[in-house]
Amino acid sequence: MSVAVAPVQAPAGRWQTLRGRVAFAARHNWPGLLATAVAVLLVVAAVAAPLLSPYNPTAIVGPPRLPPSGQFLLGTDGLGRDVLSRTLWGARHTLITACLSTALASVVGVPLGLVAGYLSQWMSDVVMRAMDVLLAFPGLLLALIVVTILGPGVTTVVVAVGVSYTPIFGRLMYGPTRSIRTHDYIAAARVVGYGRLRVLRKEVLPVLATEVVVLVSSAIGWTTLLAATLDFLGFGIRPPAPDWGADLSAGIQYLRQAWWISAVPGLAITVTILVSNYLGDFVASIIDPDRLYRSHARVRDTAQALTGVE
Amino acid sequence: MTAVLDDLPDRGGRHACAPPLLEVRDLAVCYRRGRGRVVRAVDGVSLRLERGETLGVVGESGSGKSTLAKGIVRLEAAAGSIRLNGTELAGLGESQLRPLRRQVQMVFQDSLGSLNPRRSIGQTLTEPLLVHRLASSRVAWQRAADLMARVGLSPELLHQRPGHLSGGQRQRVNIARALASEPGLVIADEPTSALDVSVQAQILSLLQDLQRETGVGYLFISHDLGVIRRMASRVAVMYLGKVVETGGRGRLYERPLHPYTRLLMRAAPRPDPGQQRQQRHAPIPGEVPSAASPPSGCRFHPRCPMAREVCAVEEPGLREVAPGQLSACHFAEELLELNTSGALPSPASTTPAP
Repeated sequence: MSVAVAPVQAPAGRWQTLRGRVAFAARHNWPGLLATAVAVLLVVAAVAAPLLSPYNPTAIVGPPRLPPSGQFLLGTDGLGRDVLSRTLWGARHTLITACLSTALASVVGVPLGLVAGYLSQWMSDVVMRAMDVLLAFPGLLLALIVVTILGPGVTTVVVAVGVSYTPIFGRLMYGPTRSIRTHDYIAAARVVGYGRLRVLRKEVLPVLATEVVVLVSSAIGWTTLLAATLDFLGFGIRPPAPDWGADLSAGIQYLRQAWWISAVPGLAITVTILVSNYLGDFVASIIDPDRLYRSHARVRDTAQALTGVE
Repeated sequence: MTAVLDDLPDRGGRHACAPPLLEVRDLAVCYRRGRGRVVRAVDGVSLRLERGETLGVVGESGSGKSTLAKGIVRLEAAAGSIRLNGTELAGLGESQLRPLRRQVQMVFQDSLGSLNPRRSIGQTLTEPLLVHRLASSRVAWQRAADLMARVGLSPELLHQRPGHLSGGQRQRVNIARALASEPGLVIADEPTSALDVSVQAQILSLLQDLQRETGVGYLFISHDLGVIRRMASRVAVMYLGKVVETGGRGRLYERPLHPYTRLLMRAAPRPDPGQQRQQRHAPIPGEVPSAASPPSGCRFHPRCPMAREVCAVEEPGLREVAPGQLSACHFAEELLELNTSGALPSPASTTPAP
């Protein structure tokens, strides 16, 4: 068994083709595969909510607080609306909010971190101290400040969550960029005649692509949580519309008599966060052969150490 | 000190009608270390390189040869004048410099580190053409395949990443990248130092072949006197950020006119057994002093077997001692006489410093 210190690169062969990596990952990374399957289901649920929902999510279709049954698969909520339908429609709203705010955070945060990492020391100091100020506020507090400024609403939640996560993206891109800029291949690119932005786009970003994918994917989990929290607190969507955070909040008062009203959207949030974490790893291992190879080598080395079999 | 470097007679038939390919005057590269401490890694270096010629720069590690290269391509901020085909590069902003960059390219020592690990060889090789808008993407890929063939690599490797190539293959890729934009000058910074001896010889032959085909000029940097002798037609010897001796390869190797050059040659292991018997391998005594606090007077005097009182006080300038051969030693003439009279004492037997 060896401890790999130098970056291990995947050998030629099956690691180098996309098909080979997908096949390998599918065989060896079952949590990732499961996460992918669940993620697909979540997206299908969100997209096909109108087709899949048995009832109108905002209509009162039965007696309130009815436990799960054949007629209402996940029961009814405090007003007598179908929980399954509301959760399916809620996936739509929650996931769109999470994706949009993640997009906002990454589209602003990643370039900001790259540029700050590549600029001269004092310029980057200015940018990064500004980010640190934002980071110093807890995400929720920052989001609440945005809500206070913009007033409640769906757009507000997207902006609030996006702004809260921008400095995290910036920070996580800044450090690696700072170290990459000292590499010889950056010097070589400058000699070739790249401008600064081209260096960042063509030389730095590809090296960090895997990190960005992992980050974006994990961030969907975090933003789901923060968006749900804001909706839980009532800053987002207006009441009759379905939303996981808002529905979770509405069910709290019936927790003793009708646990399913809160538990179903709560579980949906939990599953989304879990899936988003595993999915990032899975996708990263497919686009980056070295990462897949390294994790494989680690598993193999551990197995060898445990069994003593080469 | 710069004036003497003009019109070195060594170049024979060429005249100064066309500006030289590269003319560096009084180049200085300084690093700031800590509070107010300035390290002059390259201190007033002047060089001249004609089209299609190879100028070898040799010196120990720490002599500032790599910094010189970085200063010329402006990877480091440099003071002084850098003229490329008569165009002044010093003082140009990054964006003004960019279009001129295609004329000067560089090959780095670390063949792996100078290639982006996440980009394929093809992506790396097409980039010079795309950056300078010399070709469309499709044409650029064809040219990349041609370049691969010219440096002796299979075009199939275009889709590989650098990690899957051997050191020699990677250095060929680096050479191909340097030549992609058809530069007049390629600065090769220890291009073979990290390679096996056999691979080293192949890379040197390749560089020579490419020079014959394209007429590219090389500024060839190495610590290896043997490599420099093979590649360069003229040689500049550097010590602690300064050029201490320069001249045509033949004369300089036959009759070095600076004690440092002589010691450097003695320190190099000789493959020639006849010479080895006469002059045994003898390392230069002492260490290279720090460029942060260079010795007073002649920078070599603490290690010099010929040093006298004046050396610690007065810094010698480069001056023409023999035709085409310049030395920055107060006693270069003595060395010249010793050489021509045939009595060539070993540096160990010369009077040691008082």
